[in-house]
Amino acid sequence: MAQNQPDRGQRGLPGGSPRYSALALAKKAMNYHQDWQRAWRDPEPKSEYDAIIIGGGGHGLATAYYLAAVHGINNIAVIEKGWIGGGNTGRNTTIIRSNYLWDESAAIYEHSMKLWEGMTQDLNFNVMFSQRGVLTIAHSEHELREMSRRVHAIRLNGIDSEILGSAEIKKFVPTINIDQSIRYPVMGGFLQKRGGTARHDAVAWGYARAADDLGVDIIQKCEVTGLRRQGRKIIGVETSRGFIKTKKVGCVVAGHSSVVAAMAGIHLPVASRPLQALVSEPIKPILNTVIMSNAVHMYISQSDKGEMVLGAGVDKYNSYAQRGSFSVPEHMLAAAVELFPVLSRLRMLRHWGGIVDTCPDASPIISKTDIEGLYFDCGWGTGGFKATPGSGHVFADLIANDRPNKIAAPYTLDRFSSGLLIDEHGAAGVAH
Amino acid sequence: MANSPKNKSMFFGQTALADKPTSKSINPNGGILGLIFREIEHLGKLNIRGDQSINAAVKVAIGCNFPSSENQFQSAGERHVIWLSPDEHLLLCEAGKEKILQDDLTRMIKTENFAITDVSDSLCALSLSGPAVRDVLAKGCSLDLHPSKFFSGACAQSLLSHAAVTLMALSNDKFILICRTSFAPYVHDWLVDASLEYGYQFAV
Amino acid sequence: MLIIPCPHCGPRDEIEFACGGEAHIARPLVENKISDAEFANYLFIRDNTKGLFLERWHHSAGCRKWFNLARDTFTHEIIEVYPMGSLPKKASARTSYSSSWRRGTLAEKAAKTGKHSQTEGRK
Repeated sequence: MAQNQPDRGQRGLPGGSPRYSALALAKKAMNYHQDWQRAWRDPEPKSEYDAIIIGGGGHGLATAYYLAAVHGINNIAVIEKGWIGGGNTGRNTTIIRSNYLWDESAAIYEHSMKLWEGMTQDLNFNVMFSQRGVLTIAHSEHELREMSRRVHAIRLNGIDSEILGSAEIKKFVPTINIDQSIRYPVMGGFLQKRGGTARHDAVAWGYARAADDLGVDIIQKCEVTGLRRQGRKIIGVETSRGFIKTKKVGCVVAGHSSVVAAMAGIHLPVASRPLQALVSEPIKPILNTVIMSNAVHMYISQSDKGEMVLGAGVDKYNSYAQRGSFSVPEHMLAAAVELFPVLSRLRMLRHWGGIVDTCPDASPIISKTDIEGLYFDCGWGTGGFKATPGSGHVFADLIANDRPNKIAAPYTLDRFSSGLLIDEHGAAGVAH
Repeated sequence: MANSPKNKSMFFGQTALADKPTSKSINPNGGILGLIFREIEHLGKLNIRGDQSINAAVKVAIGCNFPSSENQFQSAGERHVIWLSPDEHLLLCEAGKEKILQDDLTRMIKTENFAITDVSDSLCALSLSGPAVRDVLAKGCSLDLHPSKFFSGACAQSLLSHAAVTLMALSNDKFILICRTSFAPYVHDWLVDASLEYGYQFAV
Repeated sequence: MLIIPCPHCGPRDEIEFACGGEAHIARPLVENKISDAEFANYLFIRDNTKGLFLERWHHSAGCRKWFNLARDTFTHEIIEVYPMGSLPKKASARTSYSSSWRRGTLAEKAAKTGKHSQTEGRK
């Protein structure tokens, strides 16, 4: 029987034949599919790396991939205390869009959107990116005017966005209730056709496999317990599996950012809040786009399995428990049922929570710190999933070159002293 | 409109539930109606801010003391003094009497640290009675409303299906519910919906 | 559903309350004489402890009074309720207060003394 040899640094098998093919399927079937090559290795941590990424979620794995693929820095490790993609990457409601108000936001989210559009090809991994559109509903005169302003700003940045009236919305979304006598009637909305969803787990796995193929070590079940410094320079990370020497550390740990920052005496403006989500039992297709509503704090789409995927705003207190209180989904579902009466008899199948790192201006932090070699990518709050590729790409650039590029530059930690905030509470959708 | 004819000239403007007509539905299980409710129109309401030092003046002006502990109310005839917080009480008095009482209190209180605000129109008082009153309220309020805990003389500020309310238990099956006037139509609609399974009557 | 023990009204569901975030942040009284970074410590920078956390709560749908809680942000256990304007009594909560970096900030010193210093403290 063929021995299970791990292939390093190659997308295919040693002989050059592709890893996955009909022939490979037939051959592996001969041994009951036990011999498939691991998609990513499970190596022992080395004693030293050129760079370490703390956090094996989508952003961290993407950062590692781009460090290797774009900057040729592959003597790196991703250190994850649990399993890759087990944090917010595995808990979000998978919405992808780039329809933000400010120029700085348009830059990063659209940069991310363009990377989404090529991701499956780039990673050779089907992330099930579905550009089914994201439609944000306006429920009042005020929201109609505000929405109009946003659409103009978005289009001035070269990003697709269009306004729909309630009749057009009904044509686009037959199951929505456009009765004008409900508490929050559908008065109009704005649509980004290029927005949509992707399979969140696949994004983590795709980046993990691609990074591993380029020689990146992905080390799971390894918790960082300290950041060792010499003066104002990083010299390595303390972990549950020993000390690892390095000159560059990128922290991409979302809800645990303040915990890791404290290991280096750094203080962030971040508050970690619960964010809940849920899915219904699976049903036949009734919704082929993503609907978001700021006023009623709800966003909904339908997964390829047929489940209705729903989310709401954060619970309004700090928590690391990965759970929130029932009052939040209850409030959201009351609104969801009014907008989509067809949901009223569905049963909830699964419900969970994550830990979102919210910033005072609802915009992320992509920044050097005053410790040489220590970088943070955090504060994405409730809107991190859509930024996965863009964040990883610009953070890799920051780490490789020790200076932010044009897209990342506005997102420094310093902006909270200078006052140059980027307030995206409106376009962050729901949430804070 | 539903002002009592003999007082009609005294009171201006619409009452909080002026647009809600009398309505009822039978008890689907037969038997008496589970909930009967109506607006206590033009009930005088004064918000009294001030600590225990003004208790003496309140006793003289109103006729009753502050309640001796939190989440209780004191009654003197038709007047009720409701504990809202360590330095905030709500006085309910006969319709039309609130201005006189406000003047009396203001004159009698010697300290500077107090405020008497006429909230007769900003709040709406509902009278609720019937065997199902506690069950109906419990559908939208997470307080323990069992008569052994929320007994006669008990009161609490809480939420009734998202609406801020003050509840007062007058007896096992008689309550006063106070909410903001702007929320009164919503509270009315909610009470109607919540009491359909018991039978209800809203009397104008 | 968190059950928050209001010191005046007793234990109530969390929906009756608003959380006021980190407690014991002194407003610098000489804000025009401290640096932007020091003012940012007051305005934006926040403790975000995993574990025992001192925070403010407001009983917005009840007595409308503010009070402080020592609460574990991982287990949600409430360790202590104590009045606004005072410090916790339990040892673990007291330690959390006194060992916080904020006690050493210029902003807090300026708030306490009304004086300011031109030298920036370094950790």
